Amino acid sequence: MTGIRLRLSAGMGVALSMVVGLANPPPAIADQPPTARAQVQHLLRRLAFSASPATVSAVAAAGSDVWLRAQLTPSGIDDSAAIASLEPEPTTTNPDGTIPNEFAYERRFIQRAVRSLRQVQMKLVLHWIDHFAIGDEKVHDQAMMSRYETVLRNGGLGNFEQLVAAVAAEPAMLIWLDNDGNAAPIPNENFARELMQIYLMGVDRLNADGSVIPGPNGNPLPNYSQADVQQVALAMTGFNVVWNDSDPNPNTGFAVSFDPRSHYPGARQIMGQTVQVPSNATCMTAIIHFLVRQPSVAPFQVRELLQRFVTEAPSPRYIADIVQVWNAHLDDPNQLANVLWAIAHHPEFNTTYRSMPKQPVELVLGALRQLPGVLRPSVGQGPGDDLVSGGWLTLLGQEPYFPPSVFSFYRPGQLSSLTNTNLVLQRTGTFTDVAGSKPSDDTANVLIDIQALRTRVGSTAGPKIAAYLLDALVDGGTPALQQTMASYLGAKPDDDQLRGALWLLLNSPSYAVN
Amino acid sequence: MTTRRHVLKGLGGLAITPFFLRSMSAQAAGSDGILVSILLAGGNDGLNTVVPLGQYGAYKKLRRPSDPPSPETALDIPLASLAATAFDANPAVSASAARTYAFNPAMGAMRQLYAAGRLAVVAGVGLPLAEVASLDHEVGQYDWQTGTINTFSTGQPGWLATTLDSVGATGRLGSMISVSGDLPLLLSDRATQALVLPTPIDNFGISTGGGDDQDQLLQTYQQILALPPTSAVEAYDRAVATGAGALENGVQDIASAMPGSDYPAPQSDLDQQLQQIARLIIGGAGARAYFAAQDGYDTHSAQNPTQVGLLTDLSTSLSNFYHYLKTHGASSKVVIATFSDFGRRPSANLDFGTDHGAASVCFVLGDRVHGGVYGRYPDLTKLDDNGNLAMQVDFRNVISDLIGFMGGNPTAVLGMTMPRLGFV
Repeated sequence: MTGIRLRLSAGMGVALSMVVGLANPPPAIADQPPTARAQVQHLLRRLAFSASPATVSAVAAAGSDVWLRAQLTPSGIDDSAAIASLEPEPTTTNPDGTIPNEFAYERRFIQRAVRSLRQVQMKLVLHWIDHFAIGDEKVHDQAMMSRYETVLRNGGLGNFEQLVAAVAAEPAMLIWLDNDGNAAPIPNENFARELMQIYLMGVDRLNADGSVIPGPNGNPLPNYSQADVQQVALAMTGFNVVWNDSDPNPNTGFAVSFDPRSHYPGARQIMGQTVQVPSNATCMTAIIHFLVRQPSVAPFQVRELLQRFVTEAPSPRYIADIVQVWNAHLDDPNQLANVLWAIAHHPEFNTTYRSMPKQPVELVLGALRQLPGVLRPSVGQGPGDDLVSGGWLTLLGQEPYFPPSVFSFYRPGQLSSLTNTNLVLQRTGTFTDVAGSKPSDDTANVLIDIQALRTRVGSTAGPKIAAYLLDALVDGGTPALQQTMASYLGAKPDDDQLRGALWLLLNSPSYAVN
Repeated sequence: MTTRRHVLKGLGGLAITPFFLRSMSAQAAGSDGILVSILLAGGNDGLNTVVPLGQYGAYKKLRRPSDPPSPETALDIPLASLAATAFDANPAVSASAARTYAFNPAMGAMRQLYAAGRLAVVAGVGLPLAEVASLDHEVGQYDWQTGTINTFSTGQPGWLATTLDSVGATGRLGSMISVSGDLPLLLSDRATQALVLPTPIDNFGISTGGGDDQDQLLQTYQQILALPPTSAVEAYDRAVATGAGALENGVQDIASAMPGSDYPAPQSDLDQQLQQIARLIIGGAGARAYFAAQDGYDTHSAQNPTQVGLLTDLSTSLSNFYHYLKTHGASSKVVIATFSDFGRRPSANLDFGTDHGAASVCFVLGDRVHGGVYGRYPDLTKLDDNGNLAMQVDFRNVISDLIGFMGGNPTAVLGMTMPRLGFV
């Protein structure tokens, strides 16, 4: 971290005038419909981690549908170069108790999100690691964390029921929510409760358009009772995570076993219905099969997907339309891909241009993709390490796999709560480091390659550089911003001025919106 | 860091420019009290925080049941280890003579504060379970921060922000400051939101890298912040960035004037957060409300080591904070209150943990606090239908007293009238 703190102004005089100004902000320029190019940039920001101007042009030329159709079948995209570039997958704890490749799984997420051609798949991974949040601080096993992400990546565009079943059976999830060791006759309710509340349907019963169904006293009708939570917990008793200490392989070094002696057998009464539960390891999938078909699940999931990818306040019509697609593909192995396609093709999708704040992960990884970003090893650190384990994403409040609690970084629909005074100043530090680090600095492992950027621009003229950066980062920018940047860069900017221009744009409110 | 972020659904549109800043208008007459709220995130187990010594037999039976088999489910604290932290409703009664309650043995420092008459223990406090059945973390934290029940789907403002707006509270750095790194709902309403600072507060500053053209860079940055925004969300970001820049000097002035170097070296995140609040209060930030948070109370498994660690931290951190304020002559206006999502189940599960429960305890500490016990534990032999402790004190009753302490009108803020508990 190379930042030096500077004060905005010498005294309170300037600060005072800024304070007064706060009460009367200039009105927002009337929202104008995005241009065709901006629509492509909007799509790439929302469903991917953004892209360089050249990629935007290529997608625009081929047509957004061609791009999206390919993205929704990620196995058809050759991603071997990105995969080969990742640092090695972490192993379980060393025999001597030390942890090998600490945080490698987390850096690998960042490396993959930045480099992978399967961009929609990786954007869905970000959604699912927020939705099915687990934390390293309790799982404490690098290999398990890594394997968990593989499940989210492989199933994230597939069938929702299968994804939930796969997540529920993962050792990391069993440990995180204590279904590991959940045993008859006194169940541990942790996983059962969060399965229903966070992962599947929420507390309140919902109509297909996402509106709450009121009960006779006017309060929302609950989806389930405490007794239902206990019944679901009993139905999922009997699982344990077992380790093979001599085998550090992430895929074979541990396994999940089912012990019928600690399973509570028999049918369960759940949400007013009798559910047959086999007394074997399929008990969990049986329960999930029953729960994912409850009527609140589709509107709950669809609303959350829309809130993460499109708008914080989706209309009832938007939710209802996508819920229809969700339900029509309930048993389709590509259910979620179909839902994503429908979301992007809904008439409301392009009405949400620049209507959301960027999540911190989007803010940082987007910059590395729109510009020639470099993730490289530095002294004793893996590629991208400055973003994790106390680094910039930690300081910005969204370090993947370190959620603040069982629920994740913010409540869907309340993304603006992430925009606070701490965040906006932390991002000045982030972009001082990312945009300001030089290749010669051997402690920098996340940076923008200025020479590569110059090559991409293809001109040393200030106005050309300004136009390129504005297109890359803020869809071209307003005439006033264009003028400000051109004036800052002058006729022929040197590298420091170029870095300054990056810092200015990356810290601008225009870049902070999605 | 700790709490999931909430803001108002009513911020919808974000067209209003929120803001912490009403800083320059005159301070309204009335209360000058400062409230420090601490969220114990995850749902703290009240029974092992304040053990109901007067019902020790029933407590032991719940925490060490013979059927189903012990010792797997044992969470009882042995009677002998509670001797030093025992207390009665009258703080003057010594531990050796006390028969009614005992703090967790890890909370020796809290026992001393209690003996000094500065600590109120509210027992049996919680959400009315008949109305909020979900025992959900988010709903529990939401209810405590809004002072409402059954409004989770519609979204209500934080009761403390509403109170401060209603009394026209202001401060050099705004009326509300969070040092948890997050913006809590408690400190957000439709007009204002808290200044959010990192811990330590010294890190609150714009970073530019220190190249040759710093002045031009910062000038251009200010020009960009002054440009008309292209959308409501951009306007909101712009307002936050502008406000942060405007307050940077004020925060730094306090940080350098109050280095806090005579504070006991912080041993934990909570300890450090409270140290920052002490620096801000003594340094003259002028805020009326501060927020800190401690996470980890969701003890579904291995509760004992986890909770003991957390309570040790809480007890020590609170004691450090109170005594530091006292030493610097700043304790007379400050009241500290803890709250948590909900309590936990009296009987343990087979993972040595407890699942989500109902009534719990909360603490209120300060020179203006009338030490003692408020509320009571229910009869431990009469649990509710879900095996939980039935609520004895409605959580809004505690909030009502705190609104009064802040100079607000509890009935107006809560939309209901609660009898006065009288701890402050």
